[in-house]
Amino acid sequence: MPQLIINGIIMGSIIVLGSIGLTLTYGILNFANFAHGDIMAAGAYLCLFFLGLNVPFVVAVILSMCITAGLGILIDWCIYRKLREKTSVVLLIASIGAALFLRNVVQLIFGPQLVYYSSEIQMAKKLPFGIRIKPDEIFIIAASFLLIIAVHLFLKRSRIGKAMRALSDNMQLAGVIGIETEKIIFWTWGLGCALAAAGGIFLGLEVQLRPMMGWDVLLPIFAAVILGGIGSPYGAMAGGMIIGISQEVSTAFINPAYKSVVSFMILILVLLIKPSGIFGKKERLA
Amino acid sequence: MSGILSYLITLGIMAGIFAILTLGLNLQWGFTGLFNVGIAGFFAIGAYATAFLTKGPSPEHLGGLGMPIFFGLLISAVVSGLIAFLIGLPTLKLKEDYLAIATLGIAESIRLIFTNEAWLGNGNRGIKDIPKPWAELSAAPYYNLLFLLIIFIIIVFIYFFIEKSIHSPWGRVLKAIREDELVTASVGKNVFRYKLESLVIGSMFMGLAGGLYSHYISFISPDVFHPMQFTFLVWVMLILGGSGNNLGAIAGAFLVWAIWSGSEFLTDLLARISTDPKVSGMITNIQSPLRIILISVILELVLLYRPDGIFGEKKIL
Amino acid sequence: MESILKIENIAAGYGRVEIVKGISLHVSKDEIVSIIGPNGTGKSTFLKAIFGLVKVFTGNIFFDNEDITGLKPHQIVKRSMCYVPQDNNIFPSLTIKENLDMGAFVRHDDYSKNIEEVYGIFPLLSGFKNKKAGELSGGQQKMLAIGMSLMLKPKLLLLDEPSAGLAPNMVDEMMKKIELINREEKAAILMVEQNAKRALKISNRGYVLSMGKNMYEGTGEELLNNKDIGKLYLGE
Repeated sequence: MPQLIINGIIMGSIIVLGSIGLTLTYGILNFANFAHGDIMAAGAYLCLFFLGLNVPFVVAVILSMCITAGLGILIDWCIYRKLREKTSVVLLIASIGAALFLRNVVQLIFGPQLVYYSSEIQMAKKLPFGIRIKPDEIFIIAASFLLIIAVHLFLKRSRIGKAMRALSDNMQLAGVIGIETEKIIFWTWGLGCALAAAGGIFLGLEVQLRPMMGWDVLLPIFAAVILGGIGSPYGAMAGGMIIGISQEVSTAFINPAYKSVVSFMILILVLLIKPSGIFGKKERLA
Repeated sequence: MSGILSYLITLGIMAGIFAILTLGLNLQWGFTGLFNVGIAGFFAIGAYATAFLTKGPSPEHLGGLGMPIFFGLLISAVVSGLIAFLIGLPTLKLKEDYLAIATLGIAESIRLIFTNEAWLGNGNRGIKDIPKPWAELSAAPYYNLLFLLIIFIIIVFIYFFIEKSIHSPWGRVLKAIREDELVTASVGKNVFRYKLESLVIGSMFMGLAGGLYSHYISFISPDVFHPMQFTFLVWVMLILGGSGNNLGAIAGAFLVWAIWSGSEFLTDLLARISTDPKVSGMITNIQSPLRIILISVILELVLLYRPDGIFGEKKIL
Repeated sequence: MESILKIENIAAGYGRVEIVKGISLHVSKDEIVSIIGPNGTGKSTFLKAIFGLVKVFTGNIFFDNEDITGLKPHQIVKRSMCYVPQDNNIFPSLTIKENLDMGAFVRHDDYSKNIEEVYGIFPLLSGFKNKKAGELSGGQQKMLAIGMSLMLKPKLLLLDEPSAGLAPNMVDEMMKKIELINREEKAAILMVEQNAKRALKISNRGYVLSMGKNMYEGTGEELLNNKDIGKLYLGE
């Protein structure tokens, strides 16, 4: 069991990184971005590309995060921005199109097969309680932790970060008090997609890379966002950890293939019991 | 029968099955504003349900009751409707995107269950030898034409059913919900019940389409029902055709299916013409992603520049 | 006294629907002006039109001797006019201090003194600077909303129904605060009020609107004592 919890924390870190961006854009633009999982995959494959150029891993991660941020901003600028006047569902459909576009561009360039960042086999370190953990996994937990702290400081201290939270609360009021909302939206996509890239890379490191990897994490990150309350980055952090740990612990009882069904069941439970989520502020009734 | 004609007939059958899906989605989205992204799931349920009921006994899967195909198709629709009912209960009182996420989740869960529970439907290997209607004729040269005719009759039936319903008082309430839910609720209509009915009926058509697919192809496996790709295709059909317009929905299904399978046909041809096995191998490899990229670009362009669809007349988007 | 806001015969509305059908009005630099009138007469839409939240079809809006017709809210805010909506006027998941920070978003200088001033006007708020705004009572939220707008040292404050939904004793409190802001912060105030009597009592002048047009205009006292208005709008 301690081992499963550790595995859960690793998966949880990855889900958290994916869900922060999703919850922010969901809260601010009021639409569910189904392309977010594939943004994660795009980040993961960018990193693979840089590693192919013999760039050191940490540099490759940072480069991928920057480019993925640009990619998110670009998609928003080309498609979503022009549809903002329409209903949220139109944006949702557009995001499904964007998701399949990204996924298949990845497949076109890198092929459909499974890939690993490194072919070398890592020895797991033995910790008390029979826990075994690989150096890569320690890196994932530590790097995610640092990124989450950085996001926290950014959202709490910086002017742009506070404005992001404000927009997520009440976009109209933000416009009324003079916040240039488009500028903040721009930064939100950048931040969200950079974090998604990190999440995608860590997922690639922990499991493997494949064009469908974004799809595999889509339900878990949505479950995390809804569990935490849409628009709440802190909710997404808590929600992501809960989902990650539940998924892994569930494997002690049921077939591991059903991990995403577990997150889906949690999602349905949240919708039945408290649709606004743990930290949700808005009642999102129809 | 000439090759081109038989190609067109198979194209017509598949497009017709998609047209049934698109009509079901049109009832849900076009007329009620319900965002169902779990089409693949409802389709899969229908496909498996009739396979279990109508096939003869087999150790490879559940059921095998050898029932008549008509009965199997009926149950396909009923079971799909039941799943829709269950998913509608917790989500239809919430904002529309919750339904989207929940239906996507149910579709993926259904796929995972059929993939992993081999006792149920033989897992990834799928179920084969699903009976065809009037099987004794299946060797005849015009058998597929007969199948096309059946599909055509069903489409006509569904078309008139939906047209009649949306012009009834029931349909007017649906459209009122689509336009403004709060106002509709405030004049005392039980919005939740109407939405649930629309979701269930639309999903029953989807289940029926799945059943027809099952009997047409005679083989099903979980791979066919990949939630996003499959569902996405149906959505593109409806949006291209114009949501809220039944004829547009049918036309959209035929048009997109023609593009979809036409592009496969073309790349196949290219791969065959090329004498260099490397080149033809490469073409086969990039074929599937290229088609999806093509369709997704078409979708974004329609959303941006023709939001009412090519044949659309109703403003909904 | 020189006028800070001058509106010449504007028509405004949503889409093609005209709700405001020709209203003229002016506000001087030290005035409190109230707009009263029955429900659905376009008072709130008028206020939104001034602030660029609703499309102006015809007419002109001059603020501080500059034509601001058709400007966007974020451009108007930079010219020191602030608008406080009737509801949804705070950021519930942000703390009080963070809400005030957002009020000062367009400022790039040090505004810490300004925050102290706002706490001075609304001492209640200074008691829980780090409390989430969503946890405040309805009245406190309204105070915070006005406090946010004061972060920009506005020359003119547009208030949409500042007393709506408040308990009777809170209404008095709110009116006192508005007078205080007018006096101490040197902000002209244009407010729309359902609670016409209370509003007119503290107003220098008032306008009565009907069906999207001007009906009467006069000092607060004149309007309060006018029998017709009393019958029609003050519930006497």
